[in-house]
Amino acid sequence: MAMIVPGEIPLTMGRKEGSLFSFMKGGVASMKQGADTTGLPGWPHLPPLNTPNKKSSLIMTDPGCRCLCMGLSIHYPYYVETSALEHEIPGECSTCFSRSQKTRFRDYLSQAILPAMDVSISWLDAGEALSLSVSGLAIEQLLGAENDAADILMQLMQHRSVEILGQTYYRSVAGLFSETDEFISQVSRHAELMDGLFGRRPKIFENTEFVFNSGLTDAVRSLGFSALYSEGYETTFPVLNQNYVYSCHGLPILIRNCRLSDDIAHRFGDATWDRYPLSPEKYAGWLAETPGDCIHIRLDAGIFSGAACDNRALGQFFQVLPEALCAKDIITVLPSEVSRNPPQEEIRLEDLGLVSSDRAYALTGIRNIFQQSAFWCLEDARYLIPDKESWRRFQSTDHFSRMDTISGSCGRVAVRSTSQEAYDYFTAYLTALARCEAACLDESRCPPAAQALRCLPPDKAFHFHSGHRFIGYSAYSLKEFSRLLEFIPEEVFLFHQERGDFSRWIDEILGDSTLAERIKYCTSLHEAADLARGRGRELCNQVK
Amino acid sequence: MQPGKVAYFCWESLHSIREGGLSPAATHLAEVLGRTHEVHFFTRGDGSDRTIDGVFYHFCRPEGEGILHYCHDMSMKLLEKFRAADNPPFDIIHFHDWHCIDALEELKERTTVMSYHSTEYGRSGNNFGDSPEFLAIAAKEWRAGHMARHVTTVSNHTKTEIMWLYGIPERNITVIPNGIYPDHFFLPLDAGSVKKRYGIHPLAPLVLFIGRLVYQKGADLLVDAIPEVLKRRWDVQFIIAGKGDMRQELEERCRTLPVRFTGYISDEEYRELLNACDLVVIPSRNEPFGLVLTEAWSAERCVVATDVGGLSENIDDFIDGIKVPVRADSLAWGINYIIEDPVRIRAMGLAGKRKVLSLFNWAEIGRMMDRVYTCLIESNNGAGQQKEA
Repeated sequence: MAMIVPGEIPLTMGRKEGSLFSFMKGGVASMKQGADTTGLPGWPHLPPLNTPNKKSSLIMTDPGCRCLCMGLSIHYPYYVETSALEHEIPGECSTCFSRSQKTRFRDYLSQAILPAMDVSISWLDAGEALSLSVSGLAIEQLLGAENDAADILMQLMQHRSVEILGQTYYRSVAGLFSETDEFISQVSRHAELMDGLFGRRPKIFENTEFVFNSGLTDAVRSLGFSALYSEGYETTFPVLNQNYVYSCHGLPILIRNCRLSDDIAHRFGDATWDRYPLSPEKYAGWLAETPGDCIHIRLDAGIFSGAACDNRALGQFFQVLPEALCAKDIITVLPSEVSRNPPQEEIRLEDLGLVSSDRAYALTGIRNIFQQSAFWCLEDARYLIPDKESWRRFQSTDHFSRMDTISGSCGRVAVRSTSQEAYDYFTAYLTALARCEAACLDESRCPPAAQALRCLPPDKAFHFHSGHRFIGYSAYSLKEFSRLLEFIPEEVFLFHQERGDFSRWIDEILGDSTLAERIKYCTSLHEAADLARGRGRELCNQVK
Repeated sequence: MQPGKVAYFCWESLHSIREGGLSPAATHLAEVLGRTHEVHFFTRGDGSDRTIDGVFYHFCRPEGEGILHYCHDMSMKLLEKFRAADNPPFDIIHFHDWHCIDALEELKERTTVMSYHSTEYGRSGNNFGDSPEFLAIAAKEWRAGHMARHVTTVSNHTKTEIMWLYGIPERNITVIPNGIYPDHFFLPLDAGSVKKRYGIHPLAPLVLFIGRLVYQKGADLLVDAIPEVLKRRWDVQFIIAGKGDMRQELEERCRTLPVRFTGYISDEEYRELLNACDLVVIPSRNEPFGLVLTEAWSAERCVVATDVGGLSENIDDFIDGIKVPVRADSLAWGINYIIEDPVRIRAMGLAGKRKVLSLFNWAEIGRMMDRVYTCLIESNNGAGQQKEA
């Protein structure tokens, strides 16, 4: 197979004149075979639920992809220190992160990153193209590692068949903040790092998880990116076929194929999978039968350290895959080439159900109440932690993944944990954030206001109770308190108000005697919510 | 069948008094058939007789102490209305459930169809009651199945049930499921804001039960399952919508559980809740068809349902829903199993939507019923010709 460099090979596959003929010849058969590409045992291969326009109805008649976009992601966050106690106020915020970070990274480097880079090199040597997205945090730690990992990375990133993708420096949830400035600053910092270290400025942006909304799309375009990578299960967005280019607000959108990515990331080593073992020939066959312009497979380096995965077998798979692709006439290309394909259609966010904030959140890793509380505390911590580096380390999506019982999809390592484990990490995270805020209290422009706005670990949070039971919600900060007051049942409000709980908590825990005194006289839920919200804004202005 | 004249006898409809799943089933079927036939719908209700959506409605206001006298009075009043409209004569007279059977007694020489949407045994939660009402209603159901020229049921399960309960011969029974208009139940909305209105956190998983709070529908099984669910997922919230005899007892038992009882809810509220919830639970002990199932699927919701009746027949386990035995701990297992996985829960909801679009559309259900009518008319004509010969 010929070596492919950006712009060298014109893309002519996909929706072309031969479509109808191909359908008559073997379209039905390929649809039937398509059913075999299902990833989960017993799951049917489903066509898009609605075909938005006539063009889309051609999707099912396509002969299959002849174009593959392979990508690798490398990232490693700073995890929080889980053994620290809340009252141990650190001298500086950086000590809130895991004390064994270096050892843990070293293990991850040898178990995941180095094998992934080895595979990438042999992939490139075979003449295939590869896109790489490496977070700023991973590069920082790689550069600090003792072995030659940094040299290998340098070699990879400067390879002519490699395209570097842009992302947030910290692979963070900044894209979900109500203001986009933090997001823009992290993306720019990452782009500058890539430019400085490897002499290449990314053209395609790969978002963190599925952060996808009109504001973000506009921000990405304003930063000079020519396309945005997103991800989607056909179940999540049944109106889209993942193997075509779409556009949103005029920006081309590339969608990674989760099912085919997870066939490698999750199911490769799963002996209970009904299609186990996965051979390169079988996989190439599935790719060739999948209708579309180009299939985007993106894998996280972490899959090489997955418990269910045999590294050597995975390495061999990738060694033989180029040959299998060649046999099926599939070529590998780079994202920037694919992004030049004419878009299938303009995505309307309302068709994707992304008009509501909760749904958008639900697809981005903020799926449960723990994550929501932590996210709100994190956003509010912006003005409470002057040490921006530490605040940004708290933003990595990995923290939020660990607060859920199920995480990792679309080429990332799948992790399942118990509710207790999720809660434990949530507790550790909030404790670390609270300690960090406490350490910065003296540096604040207004320490009493910072004290009232800070986040609280679970033992100091306000737990709402109906008189019969804990209703399931807790306020971990003043702002969350005011947000919860917007919808908690009236009887819960009255129960606490009659006992003077609100006033006592605000006075004794938050230390805001002004609000404590005023909230005593609130007679309705709305009045209390308005009061708390107003006071929150007032205090916020004092610390800004 | 060639365009003809069809009479429907049913004690409820969407345009008058609505009790349960029978009203949408009978009303929509009448509307679909009303596109090719002249359909008259004889039912309870106020106001003047009038045409609604292509169907002519005849209303009466029955009276009487107790359900049996009430239904007898209704049958006689509707029969009077029927006779006034029976010129030219009706080709088919179609009865839905037992309530108007006294009218069927009077019309048994005509071409009649009896549809069983449920049985008294099933409504009693698979129990033989010994009350005078139970015995009288069961007797009416038994007689109706033998008097009618043909019988339809909404599922194979109900077909088997009336075969062994009432000895109705299999050759006289056709299974015709209920249809659905999916658009009536699908509503893209901000689920979080709907949840907030009910005092629920936007990101708390919401499990919805909708139905009458009676033994048959098994809301008590769900209530027993809730503590088990919470052991693994403390943040799950429940809404139990509907009214019925068991409400007070259930509310007492849920005092310390995250459950909200809404009582009766309007169609609009129901649609919002259906689209805002994360999971629909159908814990029935007996379910001839299970209209809530197709309604949930229409809203792309996943269901956890007991493995009974129409639910058992229509759900493909782990493809478009989860089927569990009729036990509280099994229900809890099903809820816990699926609520953890938002991607899969969505996939199952979408698979259900596809099934609804392909198998339960009213146009096809109308054609099935039309074929039954055609066969009856043809056999009538055949018998008439034989007599003449």
